[in-house]
Amino acid sequence: VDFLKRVKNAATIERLRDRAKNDGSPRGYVDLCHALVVQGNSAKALTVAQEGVRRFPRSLELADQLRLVWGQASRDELLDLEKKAKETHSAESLRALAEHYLNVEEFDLALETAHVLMTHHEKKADGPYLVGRALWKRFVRDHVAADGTKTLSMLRHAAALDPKSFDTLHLLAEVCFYIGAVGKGVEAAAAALAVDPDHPDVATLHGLLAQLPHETLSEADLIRAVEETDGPWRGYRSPETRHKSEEPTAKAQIARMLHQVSLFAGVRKLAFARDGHHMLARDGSVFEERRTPPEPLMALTGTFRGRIAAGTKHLGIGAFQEAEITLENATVLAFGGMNAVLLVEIEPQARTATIVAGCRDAMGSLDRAPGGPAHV
Amino acid sequence: MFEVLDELNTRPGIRGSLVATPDGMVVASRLNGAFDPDTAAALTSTLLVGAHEVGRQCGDQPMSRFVLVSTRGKVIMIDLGNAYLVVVTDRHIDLSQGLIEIESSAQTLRKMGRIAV
Repeated sequence: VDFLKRVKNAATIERLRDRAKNDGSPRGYVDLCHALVVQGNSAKALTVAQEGVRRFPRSLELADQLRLVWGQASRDELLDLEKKAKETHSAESLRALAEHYLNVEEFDLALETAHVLMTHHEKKADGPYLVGRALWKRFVRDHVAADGTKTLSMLRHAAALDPKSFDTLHLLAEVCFYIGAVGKGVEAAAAALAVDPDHPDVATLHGLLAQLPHETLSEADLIRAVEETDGPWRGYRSPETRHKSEEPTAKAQIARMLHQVSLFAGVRKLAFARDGHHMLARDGSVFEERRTPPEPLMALTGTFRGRIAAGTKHLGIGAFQEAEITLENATVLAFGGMNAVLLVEIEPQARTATIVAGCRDAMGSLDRAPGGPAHV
Repeated sequence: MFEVLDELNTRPGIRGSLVATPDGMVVASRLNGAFDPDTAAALTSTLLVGAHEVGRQCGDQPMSRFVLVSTRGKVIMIDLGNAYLVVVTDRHIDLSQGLIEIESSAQTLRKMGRIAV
């Protein structure tokens, strides 16, 4: 019986792993992680959750799952690292602790630790590099301008302390590309290539940047544009898509996603807005909104993409993810992604949890990580 | 009113709270130092405008609750009658428990009577 149980468990994990790999939404990772926890394999669950969060950085369920599994799987390791860092304040111990926090996407804790490293070891490039890395990860997730500005200044500080640091220069080139600072990006990529001329990723990045026209806006304006559009510079290509000739079209994927969500019991209508895509759905029918003025629910997407998304960033609570507005005879759910908003009007007695899970999956499928150097 | 907000702010995960009128004017604020009161007021106003727009387009329904989740925190807005209680929390607060405490504070504020502005 034990043998059959083990075989069945292994088959379940294999099936879920395939699903996570091929499924375009965070759901596959959540289910795989859950199954691994149930089978008592917290260490593997942690790896899966980390991979999932890297792929879908704004998924609420994956972030919660990662935090939960991290508490179970890494408590002893964390306590040990914290103890060492507190007792010795050595660069190695602080770096290890910051790396640990970065691996589980705890950016605020990683930043705190990296700042301690900077204070105790002023001459070492590790401190500013780690601060820059943590801020970069947070910037890619939240698109808050202040994080982007500080990322660049910290990486430049690290590069000044250690001009031969390949990781720093590589990341600096990537950040510049992300915001559209082509000129500075070329410089940083060239400097990274001077340290490691055979690195294929940097060579590709340098080649791409060298073909692009230089920017006309200041760095501050470029970063502000990233914050306002809640996405990378238009010309940015993530590492995964740099070898492909074209990004796949999203229109069909969005229509399919809206169709599925609109079929949930209790959903009255929904509106989706993203650059160039304004779609409405009702009872399984999906159509593009081209009317002027637009349908009121569609008009509301503008409020969420504009003022509300900017408001949360300016308040210091990061990027807008979800909202639930309870009215007398309806509930309106809002979901934010990378420069996208989905609004769903549902009946008061609808199964909100089911609809929310469906919407999260749907938005997650459009909200993959824009990438960055693989090691970061 | 400040006592209710102070009491609410002692709960785990709650980073600050304020009371605002429907047009976004802040009546009483107890936000922790990390938050800029002007930015908080602006966001409150935006959320209220958004909520009113939602209510209007759904047949002039009043909003009773607005829960907003972002990558580093949550904002909860509760209708007090002629004002709103706005609470800023940590990202990882358990809303099933937290909302009970927030609703309880909102109830106390409602009992205090209409807020004269």
